[in-house]
Amino acid sequence: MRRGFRQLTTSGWLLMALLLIATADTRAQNPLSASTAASFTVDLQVKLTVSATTLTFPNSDPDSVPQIPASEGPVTITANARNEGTNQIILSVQASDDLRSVLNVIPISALTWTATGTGFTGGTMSTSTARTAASWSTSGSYTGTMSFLLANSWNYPVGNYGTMLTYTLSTP
Amino acid sequence: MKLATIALAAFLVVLASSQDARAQSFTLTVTPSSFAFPSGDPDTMPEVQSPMVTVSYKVTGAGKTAWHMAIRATSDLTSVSDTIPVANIRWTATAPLASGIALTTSDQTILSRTGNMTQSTSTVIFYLKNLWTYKVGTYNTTIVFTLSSP
Amino acid sequence: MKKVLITLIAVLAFAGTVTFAATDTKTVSVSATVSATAKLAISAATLTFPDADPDTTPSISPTEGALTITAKGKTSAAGNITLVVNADGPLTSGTDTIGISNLTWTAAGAGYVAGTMNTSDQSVGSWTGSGNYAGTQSYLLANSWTYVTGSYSATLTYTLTAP
Repeated sequence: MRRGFRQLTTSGWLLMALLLIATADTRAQNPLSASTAASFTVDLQVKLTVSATTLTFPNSDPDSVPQIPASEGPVTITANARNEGTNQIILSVQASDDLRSVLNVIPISALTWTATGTGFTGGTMSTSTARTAASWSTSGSYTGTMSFLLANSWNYPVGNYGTMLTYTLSTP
Repeated sequence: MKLATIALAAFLVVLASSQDARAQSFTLTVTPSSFAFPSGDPDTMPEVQSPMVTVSYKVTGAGKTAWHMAIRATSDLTSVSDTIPVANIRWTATAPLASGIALTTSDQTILSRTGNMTQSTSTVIFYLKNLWTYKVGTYNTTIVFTLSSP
Repeated sequence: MKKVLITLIAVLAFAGTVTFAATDTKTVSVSATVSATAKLAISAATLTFPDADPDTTPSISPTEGALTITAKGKTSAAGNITLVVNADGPLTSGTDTIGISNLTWTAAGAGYVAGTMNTSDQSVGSWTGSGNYAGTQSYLLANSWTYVTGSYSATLTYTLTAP
C-alpha cells in the first residue's frame, strides 16, 4: 500500500509538471503581430493637354519668309497615359479639311511641324490620314513641343483660310 | 524517491518560467483586415489616401521590461508582373504611434515604452504616391504591426 | 441561308477591328491670312543710250541691255495684277528735248507686252490671280540727225498693282 502511494504521488507530480508546461506556453506571445491587406488598382487611362487652341499664320512676304511660323509659337503637348506596358501609346493629329477660304484652297500638306521631346516626331499634315505625332511603349507622363510651319507662296489667292486639327491620344 | 525529486524539480522550473510569461502580455488588433487605395487622376490626386486603420493594443505585466511596436510591409505592392515600391507609401498615425515617410519590408519602430500600457487605440492613414508611370493592374501587399520585447 | 452568311461575315469583320480602350482628344483651330501684296524688282536702275551714227544705228539700244523684271503679286483668284510705266517728261538737255515717244520697248515673258513710252501710264504687263511673273523689256531709242547735241535724261516710273 505504501509503495503504491509513492508510485501514485510520483506519477501525479509528473502529470502536474506536464500540465504546467503545456499551459505556460499559451499564456503570452512575443512577438505578437496583426496585419491589414492593402490593394491598389491601376486602370487604363489617358489624358491629353495642348497648350494652344488656335494656330495663326499671318500674311508674309514669301521671299523673306518662305515658311511661316505660327504666331503662338511652339505648341506644348503633355500626354499622360497608363497601359499594360506592352501596347503602344499613340498621339496622332489630323486635319478636318484643307485650309479653305470660300472657294480657294491651300493644300493641307503645306502645313508641317517639327517636334522636340522624347517620343515626339515631325510630320506633314493630312486630311485623309491621322499622322503620328508621338508614340511611347509604357505608362508615363510625356511632354514635348510641336512647331508648325505653313509653306508660303506667291500663288496663294488673297483670303482668310481656316481648318481644324484634331489630336487623339490613345492606348488599347 | 529519486523519480519524485526529478519531478518536483521539473515542476519548480516550469512554475518559475510560467510566472515570467504571465508577467508580460501583449494584446494587438488591426482593423479593417483589408483596404483598397482609391484610384484617381495623378494630376489632381498626387497621393491617394487609405481609409482609417485602427490599431488597438495593450501591454500588461511588463514590470520594468522595455517593449516596442514596429510596422513593415511583407513586400512591394505587386501585380502579376509589375511592382510599385512600398517606399511610395507613407503614413500618419495618432499619438503615441509615430508617423513615417516611407514604408519598408523591414521593421520600423513606431512606439517604444517600458512598463505596462493600458488598452489604447491609435489610427493610421496610409498615403500612396499616385504616378502616371504605374502600369495597369491590381497591386497587393500586407502591412504588419508587431509588438515585441527583447 | 444567303442572308445569314452575309451577317456572319459582317460580325467577323467587326471582331477583327482594333479599337482603342482609352482615348482623349483635343481640337485646335488653324487660320491663315493672305493679304493683297505687290512686289516689283527691276534689274537696272539706269538706261544709257550712247551717241551713234543715225545711218548705221537708226535705233539705239541701252548699254545695260534688256531689263529683267520680276512682278510678284497676291490678289483674289480673279484679281487683275497690272504693271505700267510712265515718263516724267521728254528726254531733256537744258532747253533742248527729244520726244519721249522716241523711246519704245519690246517684251518677253508671259503677260508682258511691247509699248511706246509716254507721260501717261503705259501697260508693261498684266496677269490674273496671284503669282510670280518674270519677263524682259528691251528698250530702243530712235536715232536722228536732227537731235541737238547734249546729254538728255528722263525718269521712268514703274507701278505694280495687286488689288
